[in-house]
Amino acid sequence: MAHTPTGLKRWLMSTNHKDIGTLYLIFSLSMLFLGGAFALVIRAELFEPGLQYVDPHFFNQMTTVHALVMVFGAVMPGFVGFANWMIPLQVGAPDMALPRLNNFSFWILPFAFTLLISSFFVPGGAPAAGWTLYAPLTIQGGMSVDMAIVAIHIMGVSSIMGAINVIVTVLNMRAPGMTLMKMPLFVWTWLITAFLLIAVMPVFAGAVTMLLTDRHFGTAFFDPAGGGDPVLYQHIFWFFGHPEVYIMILPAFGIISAIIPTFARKPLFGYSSMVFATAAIAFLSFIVWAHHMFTVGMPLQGELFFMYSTMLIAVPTGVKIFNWLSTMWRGSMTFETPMLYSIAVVFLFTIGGLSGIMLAITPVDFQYHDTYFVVAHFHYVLFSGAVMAMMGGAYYWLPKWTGHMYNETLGKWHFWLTTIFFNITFFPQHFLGLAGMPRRYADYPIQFTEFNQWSSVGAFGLGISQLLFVYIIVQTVRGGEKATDEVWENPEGLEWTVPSPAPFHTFEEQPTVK
Amino acid sequence: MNPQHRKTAIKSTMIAVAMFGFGYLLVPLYDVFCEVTGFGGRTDIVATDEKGNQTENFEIDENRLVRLQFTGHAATPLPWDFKAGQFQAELKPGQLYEFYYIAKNNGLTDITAQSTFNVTPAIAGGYIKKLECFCFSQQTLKAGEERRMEVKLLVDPSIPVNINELSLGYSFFQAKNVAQN
Repeated sequence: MAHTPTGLKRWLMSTNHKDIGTLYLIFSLSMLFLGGAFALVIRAELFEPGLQYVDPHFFNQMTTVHALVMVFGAVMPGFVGFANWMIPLQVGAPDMALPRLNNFSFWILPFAFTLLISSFFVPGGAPAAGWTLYAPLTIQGGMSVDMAIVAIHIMGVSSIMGAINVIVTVLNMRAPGMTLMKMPLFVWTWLITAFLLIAVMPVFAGAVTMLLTDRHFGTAFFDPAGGGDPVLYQHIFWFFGHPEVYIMILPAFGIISAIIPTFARKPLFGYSSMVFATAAIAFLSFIVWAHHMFTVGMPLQGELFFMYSTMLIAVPTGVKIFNWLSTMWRGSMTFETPMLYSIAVVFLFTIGGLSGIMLAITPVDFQYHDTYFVVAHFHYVLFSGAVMAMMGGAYYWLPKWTGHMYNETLGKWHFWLTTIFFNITFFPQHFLGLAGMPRRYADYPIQFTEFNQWSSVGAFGLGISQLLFVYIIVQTVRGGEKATDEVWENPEGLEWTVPSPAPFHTFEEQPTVK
Repeated sequence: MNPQHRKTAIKSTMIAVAMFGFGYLLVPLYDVFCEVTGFGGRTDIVATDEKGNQTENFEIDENRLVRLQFTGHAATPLPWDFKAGQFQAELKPGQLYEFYYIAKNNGLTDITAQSTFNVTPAIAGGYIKKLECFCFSQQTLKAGEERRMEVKLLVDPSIPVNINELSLGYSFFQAKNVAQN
């Protein structure tokens, strides 16, 4: 088993979970920069009222493609990268259950994104209807909409295959003695995420297929001229879209549930309640979708149902927040970079959660809907929830992946720059939204200027700070202080029993869990 | 492949395939849902025999008047003028009325269009019962032609007492050559 492929073949034809994990993580980081560059075009244009750099149509392409790239290119593949690297190591398996499928699900992604990005160069430019691709606007768009639809199909196939791989691995390949309720929480959250993925990605694939046939093959699912209903698209989309946002946050919960106990030097508080809370969030995610559509028109009973069911999600989420706080309570805490990120996630995600409760209140949602308040809300849960959890996870496991300790001073710099600039970017957007600034416009009335300037300055700071992240990763890969096998002080989990860096093949003999 | 892995993988794939089907199933489900709840401002029809005569009868409520307002709209890019023949009317629940709209084709060619309809408040949709309507089928206007288009309807007497004002809107869309799905 000493066989280690080299060169291009090692990556192109890899069936090794660690190599594929690395590919996913590199891909995700590249997409973070690409999507970030689109965001900076948006923020540059919004630095001042009036039109400075781009025309409104291009601006709309930027908001649309920024979101598609971040959701499907940065966040989802990022978590799949973590899953590939860590799930086999955490359950004591030698590899993922379906290694060739694993290779395939990664290598179709670059094609999907090449297709999506090349839509900038077709007549009419990239899709500009928002990442939700609402009909009937997308029935009218140019050929870029078709390219986006096919790209989404490929991304969907990729994530469904990734999810199947996780399910098979977790259900069948756990080390003897590792019962379901002994699995690390990251594995649990990913297992539940994988079920969400296979349940809703196909629904989204169905929705965009209907769009495609409406556009070219004479059906009229969403086209009123043929008896269709555009509101139906919104229902199908959000039936996918709401579980999708939990797909992007549950693995983040798993990562910080691994980090906080290590640096609080206490076991995770309320393990089983964490598992049930995750399952409860996943279940509730299927019955709240129409809270994205309060202003579209709904009977009163519908609005009440979706309001209450949405608010109910605060209960299991609150359970998680309090469990993390209780884990830290009276712990011997130290504040290495991964811990700083985890604490920031707990704090900032809670801000995003609370603005989510505000948005769930139907009567006030009529004021907040499609304003910058919503933009602030979902960046607090997605950036300071999902992305910052991944950054924390990267620092936490980087010594295991590379065999070297990262530079702690630079790591802390990266943390503080990211956190401060993130808040400068997005906190003012709450005020902009409450004052009535609508999202997805290239221009705004002058009374919104100051907050927009704060936001734009913050965004450029946030973007540039991420170069430091790349520098730290490259530096750690190339050298640095040797990491011990345990890396941290008595961390829990099988991944710390293998050498650092984790050798190409691990757990060829299954470990036993007591 | 390990048979256990194969089994789990096949089961998961089946879930994914079934959910793709479920996405499509949402289309008829949504239709039924609208039918039952009046969601989306869906209206009802009056039962008729094959000659189009009313077979379902309602008791006329002489003590109530419900105000119905009419709107009409031709969706871009359909080059039609389309407006209601009357601004509003007061209706006795249960009694059959006839109203009309006026449509004119300003285009240079014959154009076929299909109208959709909507009632607000949405919850009242099911209480508007139509006997005849130009919205039941596609309408073709020759270039420059102007035509009255009729709708016969009644308000169901069981309409809740707190609903006294309704609006009924029609929008014409250029038709695609497809059947309704």
